[in-house]
This record gives sequence, structure tokens and C-alpha cells, in this order.
Amino acid sequence: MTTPAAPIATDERDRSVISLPPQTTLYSSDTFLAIAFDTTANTTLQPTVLGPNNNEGLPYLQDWRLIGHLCNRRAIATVDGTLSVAGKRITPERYLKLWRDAIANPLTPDQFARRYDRIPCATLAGPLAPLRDVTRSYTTSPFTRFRDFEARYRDQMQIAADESSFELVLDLRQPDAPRHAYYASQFLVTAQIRKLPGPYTTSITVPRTGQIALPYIRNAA
Amino acid sequence: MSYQIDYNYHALRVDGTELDQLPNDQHEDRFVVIIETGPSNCYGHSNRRVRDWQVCMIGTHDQVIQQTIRFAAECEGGMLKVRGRDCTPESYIRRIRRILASAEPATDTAWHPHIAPYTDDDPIHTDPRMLRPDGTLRQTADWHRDGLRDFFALVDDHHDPDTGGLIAWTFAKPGSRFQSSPC
Repeated sequence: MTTPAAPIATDERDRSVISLPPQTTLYSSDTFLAIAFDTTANTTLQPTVLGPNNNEGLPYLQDWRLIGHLCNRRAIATVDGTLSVAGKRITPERYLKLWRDAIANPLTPDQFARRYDRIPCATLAGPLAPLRDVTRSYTTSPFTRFRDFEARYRDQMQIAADESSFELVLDLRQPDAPRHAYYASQFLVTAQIRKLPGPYTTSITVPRTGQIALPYIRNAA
Repeated sequence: MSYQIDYNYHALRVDGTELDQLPNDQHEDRFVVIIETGPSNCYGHSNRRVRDWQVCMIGTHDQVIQQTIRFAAECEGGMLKVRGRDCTPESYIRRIRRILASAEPATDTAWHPHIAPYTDDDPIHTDPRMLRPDGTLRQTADWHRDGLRDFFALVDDHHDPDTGGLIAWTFAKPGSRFQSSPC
């Protein structure tokens, strides 16, 4: 039997929970983004967006889902010290307490940007033609079809010269952006489920302010 | 929506010095955690919720805690309750820590190895440690007679330290001491 590679030790230096506006998703409960700031032997301080953030929809999490996600991943790694906090070993119970404190004291997207000099963004990308007539999954969506979302945000999209594909980076500091990004991502997830020609990208990133051009920011902080 | 209820807990300790030295350990004790558990929405003939004893965690202390955290995740969303009451993941982890601290010595009547993977293509089926010298499959008595070194080496190999993933009840069963009362 082959010996698995040793896990990379990670040191969590900071954490932040971003509260998203009410009615961002179809659920009535509060929704958050969770970002850990980690260093490893190979990297300097890097943000890690927690949750399913690999093109399976956006990692908008209710508090209980975030705790569950932490239990299934990072809290487990504290047991053998693969994950430490500020350079020290920590028990999983105390680690969860740190995140509960962060959930109890969330930042708005704007506050997060000011504190960390990073902008919470939603990135959506994929082929345009297969998407246009995909219909909404939820009646709470403000967009009946993807083409309605495209009409709203086309001037902010980067579109291939042959119109075959698009990429849109939404600044989540904008009041409607979290909600619009959520429902738009559902079109892309539906397209994936239906195996429409892809690939499709749905993700949350937190690039440094100035690292990314966001032409639709009219009153940037 | 139904949820899982834990009713009772027992922890057994296998003395590490009895295992012979496994690779990468120093005669570390092994634990077997047996939990009486059952779904909230299934009732027996006496209108009592059905429940059964299961080996839910197995391995070293750290391995058991990692497996525990995976279960504890279900507490936060209310899908796992202790004796029908809400429980935080932290509280669940602490509960398992306490029973590990007071674990009783393992006996043959309390538990036994019983490797029964879910799928036919699980690589454990062809692991040489599953076989007797004559090439036939090891049975429960073989594990106890030959020492539990190979058994816990298999547990070590199948425990995923990244996810705490190990389906403990496919590796061991409660012994005759743990018989569920009829429902």
C-alpha cells in the first residue's frame, strides 16, 4: 500500500465572517461568507473562502452550515496539529468557539473591505448560448431566465469576441450584488446538472483592492 | 424531519502494550466506542423508538476524536441529538472525551473485530492482512487469537485524518454484553 503524502501544516492567523443582506437567498435565515487567513510552509498569508467553493454554487452559509463545514474539515485538522491557530495547537472545541465569536460579530462586505483591503467578489463564467434560456430554480429569483440576468449585467461582463462565453466579477459591496450573484449562480448550477456545454464557474474570491478592475463601482470606499 | 438519537455510550480500551509495536506508534492505546443509537421516527411494537448498539468510533485517542468531530457536525443542524436533546458539536466532543477518559478494559464479550466493507470492490478485500496463512479469510476468532496488531493496522490505514472518515461499524461489532432491549 502506498504511503499517503503528509498533510501540509496550516496556521490560521485570522478569520472573518461577512454577513450578507437579508433575503440574499431563498432561505429566511441569515447568510454569511466565511474567510480564513492562513499561512503554510509554502505560502504567505492567504485568504481561504470556506464552504463549497468549487463551481457548485456560491458558498453562502447559514451559521449552522458553517459550523458543520468546520467540523467536517478544519476542526478535524486541529486534533493532530495539522491546523494550528496563531502558531499554537488548539482543541477542536476552542477552535469552533473562535468561529462562533466571528459569526456573532460579522462584518458587512464594506467593513470587510476596509479592514482587510480586500473586496469580496462573486465570479461567474461560462458559455453564453446554452445558458440564455435556462429558467430559474426558485420563484424568489429576480431573474426568470439567465438572459434577464444578462440584460441587467451585460455592460459589466467580459464577453468573448465571438460571444461564446462570458465572465462577470460582481463586487458584493453593491447592495443587490449578493442576491443577484446567488440567483445567477443557480442558472450555472442548473446548466451543469443538465450537462449543458460548459465549463461553468461559480466562486467567491477576495482579491486585494486594486488587483481587480471593477468598472461598476461608482462610489468605492 | 427525522434525526438520530444517541441514548448510551461505552468506551473500551485496548492496551497498546498488548498490540506489539505498530509502525509509527509507541504502543498507543486503542479505543472502541460503542453507542446505543437510533432514528427518531422508527418505533417498535411497544411504541418505543428502535435503537441498537453500534461501534461508532475506533482507533487511537486522536483518531476517535477526529471521527467524533465528523459526527458532531450533525449536532449543529439538529440531525443528531443526545437523549433527544439538542447538543452542540463542542458538547458532543467533550462527552466522548469524558467516556474515553473512563474507558474500561476491552474484553471479548464487549466487542469483536468484524470487517464487513460496504462494497465488493473495497480494496480491503484483497489486503493480505485479511488472510490467514493458508489463504482463507480471517474470522473474528483469528483476530483475537493472533493479536490485534494487524486489525488495528488496517484501522489505521483506513482512517482518513483529513476528514475523520472511518465507518467504524464496518470494522467491529459490539459483543454479547451489548444487546438492545426489545422495542
